[in-house]
Amino acid sequence: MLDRREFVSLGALLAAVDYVPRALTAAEFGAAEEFVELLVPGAKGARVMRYIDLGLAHGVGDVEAWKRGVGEWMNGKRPMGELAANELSPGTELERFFGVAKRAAIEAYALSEEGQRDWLGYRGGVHLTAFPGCTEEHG
Amino acid sequence: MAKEILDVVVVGSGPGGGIATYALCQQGLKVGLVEAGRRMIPGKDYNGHGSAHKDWEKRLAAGFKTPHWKVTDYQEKDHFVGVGDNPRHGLLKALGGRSLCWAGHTLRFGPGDFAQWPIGYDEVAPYYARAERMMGVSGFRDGLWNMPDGEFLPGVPMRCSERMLGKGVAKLRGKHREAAFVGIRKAMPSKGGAVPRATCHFCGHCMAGCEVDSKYTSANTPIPMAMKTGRLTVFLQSTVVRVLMSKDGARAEGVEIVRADGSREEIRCKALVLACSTVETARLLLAQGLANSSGQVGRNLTSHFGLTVVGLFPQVRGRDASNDDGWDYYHSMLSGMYWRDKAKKFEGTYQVQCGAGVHPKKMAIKWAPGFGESMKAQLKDWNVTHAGMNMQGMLLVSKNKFVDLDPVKRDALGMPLPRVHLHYDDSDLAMADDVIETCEEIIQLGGGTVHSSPGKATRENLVIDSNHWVGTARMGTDKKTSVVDLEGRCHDVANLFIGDASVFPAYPEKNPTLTNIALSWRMAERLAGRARRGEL
Repeated sequence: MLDRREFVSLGALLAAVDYVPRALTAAEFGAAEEFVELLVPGAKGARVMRYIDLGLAHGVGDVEAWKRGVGEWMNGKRPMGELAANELSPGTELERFFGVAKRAAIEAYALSEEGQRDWLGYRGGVHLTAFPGCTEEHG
Repeated sequence: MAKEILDVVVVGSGPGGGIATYALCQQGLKVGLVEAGRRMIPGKDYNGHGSAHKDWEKRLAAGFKTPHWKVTDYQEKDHFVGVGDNPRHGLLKALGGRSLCWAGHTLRFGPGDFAQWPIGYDEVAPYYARAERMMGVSGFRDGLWNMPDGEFLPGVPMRCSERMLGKGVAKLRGKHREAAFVGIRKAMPSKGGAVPRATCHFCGHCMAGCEVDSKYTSANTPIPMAMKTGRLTVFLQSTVVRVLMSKDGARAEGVEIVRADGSREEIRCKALVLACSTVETARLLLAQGLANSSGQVGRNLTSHFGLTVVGLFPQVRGRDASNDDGWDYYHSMLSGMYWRDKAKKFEGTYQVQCGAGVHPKKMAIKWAPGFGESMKAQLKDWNVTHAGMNMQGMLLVSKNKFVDLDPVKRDALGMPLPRVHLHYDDSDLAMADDVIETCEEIIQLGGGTVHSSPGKATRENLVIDSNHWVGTARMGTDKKTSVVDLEGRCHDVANLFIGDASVFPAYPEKNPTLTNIALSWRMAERLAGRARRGEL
């Protein structure tokens, strides 16, 4: 029988081994998860980096760009506002990575149950007997 | 014992081949249907109801790069050579062909469209009505003269931002522009009991493959009906590599097929129907120099082409956006453009398919500036309030668009690959510029703002519709300028018929499938009449 402390520790251990990164190293994965959560709050809970890493391991996305970008982030973190300011004309590796990671994170978060429910308020994907269309009057 | 000679062999089981097979069997003929692909199982081979994240690893392991199990996963790759302005050619080898991955948009061509054909609207209208009943078409009666109403099940309403576009179009009409804004018409039963298929449950997966088989396909309606006659033999995973001809070259005697295991067989018949798709039918004819005394096989190629303009309508902010799935993205369309008052800067006309709403699996707008909660809020707001306008223009028929055979490249069976040549003409670009200007105006007249627009059409930003090709074996009365006669029978080979959209002699802006089905049904009945009279 596990006591409470052992139970909590086991839970933390299971969470840690729940997913072993395939494309990134464990350290890169952890840093990427932190970066992506700043980009798209809620991404960590929706396991967005697991989705992205699996894709990278199978040729979806540029794994080297991720490794370079995450490496830059680990070497010297910059305020996200600074990176966002140069989003349309990135000049540095980290600024370029901002765009790469953001596109991938939005895609993965929108595809997650958490993103659909908590962000978009989506309740679709169900069987309807009729589609109501627009039921409101707008000017 | 001598091998059986079938009355008719139909090659290809897509929209045209499927209906021809049914019509021929129903008329009492023994038919062999040859299909290069296998039978797919809706819900198993494709199913958009799954979870992207849960299915992701399995999908990647299976070699796919996208998250949902779609029928379009199985479309052919490296099956043609594109020349020019980024031509594309959709090909799905499966029982039902590309009827498995069509959107279901079911529009009649109108009297104005048939004015350019050697047969009139009244000739085709009875086949439209029959096809609509069999397909289970849902739509509203709009009373448009050149896109006549059909036999419809109840229509499905528009989403809020689409209605804002409708307000914009009404104001455009007030400026004396010919235009209509109508609901889309789809071969998707909105009401139970009308056709022997599931009623639509509005999940929005139509083009990715309808996993409950509500959408009309050849595989779920006419082919099973043909099977019930007891007169149909289906040859699956069998690719036709040669049409067997009589020694004098005047008659088709059957086809040679190669099965998936590499074995070969000759299937003999009294009449042959090719319904392999516009590009593939032309390829088969060109490979053997058949039915081409006119030199028109592969010529007159056309399709639809387009671009997208997106608007935002702040009026609808705060609406209930919890379920915008519906009938896939497009619920509405701009129609009626230049039907009577012809454009001065380009030939032909266009329609614009319009959609709206939040669709997480394929969000219309995927980028907003910044990061964090404010970026998320902005992106959600844009998706909730947006409307997308997708041009579907008539591609000008010209010498710059055609199909021929690659002199070098061949497929795994040694057949030459088709080359699809597409070079946009100035008229095409002028039409696209008109669409951009008109869509932007409609958005603004509807009280919205333009979110994204190409601004100016270029050969690089136009997108060809890979599934709407028609015209490579066109119909006509003159054997010097056309490939088939008014029945769909080749001028040069008396018992060779064409049952797909390659016979279209002219192409309006409207989606081709209903007309493909109606014409193929008509062709099959003419063929059966000849069989009854002993003319085969």
